[in-house]
Amino acid sequence: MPHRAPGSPGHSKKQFLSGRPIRYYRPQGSPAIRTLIDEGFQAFNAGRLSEASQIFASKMLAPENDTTIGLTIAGAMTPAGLGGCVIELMDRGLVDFIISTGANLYHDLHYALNFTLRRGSPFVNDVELYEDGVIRIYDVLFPATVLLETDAYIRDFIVRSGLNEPIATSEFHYLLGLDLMKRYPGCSEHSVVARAAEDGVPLYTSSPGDSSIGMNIAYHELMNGSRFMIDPNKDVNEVCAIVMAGKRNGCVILGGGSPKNFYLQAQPTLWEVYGIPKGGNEYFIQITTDSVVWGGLSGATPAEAVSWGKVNPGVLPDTVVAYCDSTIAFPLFCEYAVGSPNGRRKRRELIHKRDALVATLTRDAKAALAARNKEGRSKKAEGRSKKK
Amino acid sequence: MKKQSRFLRTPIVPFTVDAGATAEDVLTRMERISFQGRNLATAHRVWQKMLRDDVTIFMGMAGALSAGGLRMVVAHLILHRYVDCLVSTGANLYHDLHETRGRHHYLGSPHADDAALAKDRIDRVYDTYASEEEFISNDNWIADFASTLERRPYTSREMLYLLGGHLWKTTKREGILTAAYRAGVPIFCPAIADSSIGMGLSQARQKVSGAGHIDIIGDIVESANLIIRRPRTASVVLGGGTPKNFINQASVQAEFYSDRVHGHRFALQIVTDTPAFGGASGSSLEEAQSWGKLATDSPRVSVQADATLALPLLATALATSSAGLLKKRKKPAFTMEPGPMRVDGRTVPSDRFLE
Repeated sequence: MPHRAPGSPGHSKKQFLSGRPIRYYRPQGSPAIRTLIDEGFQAFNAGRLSEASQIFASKMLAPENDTTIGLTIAGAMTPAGLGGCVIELMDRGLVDFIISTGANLYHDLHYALNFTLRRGSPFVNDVELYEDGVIRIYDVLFPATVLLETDAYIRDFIVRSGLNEPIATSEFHYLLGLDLMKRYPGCSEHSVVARAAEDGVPLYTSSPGDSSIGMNIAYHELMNGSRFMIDPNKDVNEVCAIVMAGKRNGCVILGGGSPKNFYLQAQPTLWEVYGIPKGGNEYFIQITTDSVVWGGLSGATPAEAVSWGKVNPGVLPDTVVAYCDSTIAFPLFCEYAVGSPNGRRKRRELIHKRDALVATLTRDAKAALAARNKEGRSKKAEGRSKKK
Repeated sequence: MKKQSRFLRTPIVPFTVDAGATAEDVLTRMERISFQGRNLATAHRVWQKMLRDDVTIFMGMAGALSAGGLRMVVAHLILHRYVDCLVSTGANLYHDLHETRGRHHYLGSPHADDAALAKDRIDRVYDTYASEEEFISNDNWIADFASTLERRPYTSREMLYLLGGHLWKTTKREGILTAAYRAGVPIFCPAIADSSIGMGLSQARQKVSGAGHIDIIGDIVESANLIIRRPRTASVVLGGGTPKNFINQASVQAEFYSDRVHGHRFALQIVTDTPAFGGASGSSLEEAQSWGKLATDSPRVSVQADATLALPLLATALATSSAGLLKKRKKPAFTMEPGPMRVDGRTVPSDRFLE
């Protein structure tokens, strides 16, 4: 057992963990909620959420627009039970790839492994929780053993996988999802990681070292001398390749943080680094509690993103930010999308197309480089002839 | 080399620490950094512009700034005429009176056990405590004072002037109410009923029938007439709330009756609320322009910050940067003995709008 032995008996643990279990809520496309959003949500941030829902359902999901849609997730959404919304969107082909913090995917594993997170209070005594071996995420409570056993599963998986080289996070999460489905049949009903593997949705993590999944990968290198590691370059190029292949591009950003930046850097990578003039996003939806006035990226507006070439100028009417806690806004947003006439699309299953997409990116980037070199040479030649 | 874009004229100058820097030095250097730091530095410049002009400067005060230790900053701004008219919540004036009467607020914790505090009859304002016993004596003091007034309606401005005078004569202590009395600066309290001052006045009525009669509609007329008399105005808002609205509506009301009024000529606000939630406290100054509350060409700045951070720094910087401006200032002169207020020798009626 580790230094800190969780769950030592004789305390009030039962009280802390007596709340109802947190389950993944699956949006069902309720007509009443659609009416509420269309007719009841008219101004301020309700108005913004209504616009966001309508842009998503009527424009981004419209078959003729064929939009490649990225979902970015920051903030403790899976512990809060929002994984069901993500599962529903993936399953219906309403998102094509996902960039998440590592923590959201790590905590999703608890559900796959059948551990229980519980509803609680944000006003509990943390020293008592510590003594009782109970972990708190605001008002979500669970025993520390959940962390230890989830960690053990990840390490066990890494050893069994035989992975011994650098790979993309999408590849790692895909293999992890397949393993979950094999060992815990039926878990894709309540796990984002497992369902993403089943539905072929690539899952990326922008900062793979910054979560318990990364901690356990690090363990494997230190203790077993493994050469398995996450190669962030592969992630950057895969996301670029996916965005480049999109006829139109759009995103749904929950919170902000590193996943927001990772998604939005794709277009600058294309024009600034690879010299491929793809243009910016056509659609931009964000739900955040941050605000613009502190200057940080999470609160930065789509208008600011225009200056960077991340969002196309002229599409600002199709961009919207709802200043709201995602735990309120996102389930409503998903209910609206699921119940819309465009509430199901053919899944792109991009997980199986990554190699082909990256090959296209490589070809186009080399062509762009050759074109620039040629242009450079002719300019030099022009310079020389002028000297004469 | 390619021509530099017109957007790239002024580089950021990283802020460097200087052990001997004054608040003015700090704010001057913050003009070349970013975000709300630069906005606060801009606020310093905008306030100086107000002082250089001949505008009547209104200041609005909401949020528990008196209990939170800023009452002497506000008193300083009044006494030295950085502002000409205060619009405050009742609570800020009440908590000012509390300390002027020799009582205190105390350092506390935001994580306190409120049931234990209730047992000891301690009231909590976030991380600040006060004693209910001491509050009760204030309420009685206010009721006794109000009982001595005539049985007629007083505007909040008139009543608060008399209250400030009584407080000064009995205590000789510095504070917001006493500073306003001594400097002849009017104070409006549009939501006076929504405070312990209002509660004290209601107790006066319990003692003497008809006492404690505040004419809040007279406040609207008087504040609008003040602007009609002197149409060039500026607004400094701390926190937002009722005072922010009252200062803005005075300008709108004045414009109904005078074509010389075109909204405040300068605006500065320090608020923690943000525009995205649609409320007046967080609303942008540009939004105020659409209402005609603020002139469309006005120098203005909105600082998103807790006033307990921003105001001490700003007021201290002004104390060194603006001494000369204060001396030269063409400030309005108020006369506030009982009856209609006078500004620069001309009456400011509270019973009907000037036309």
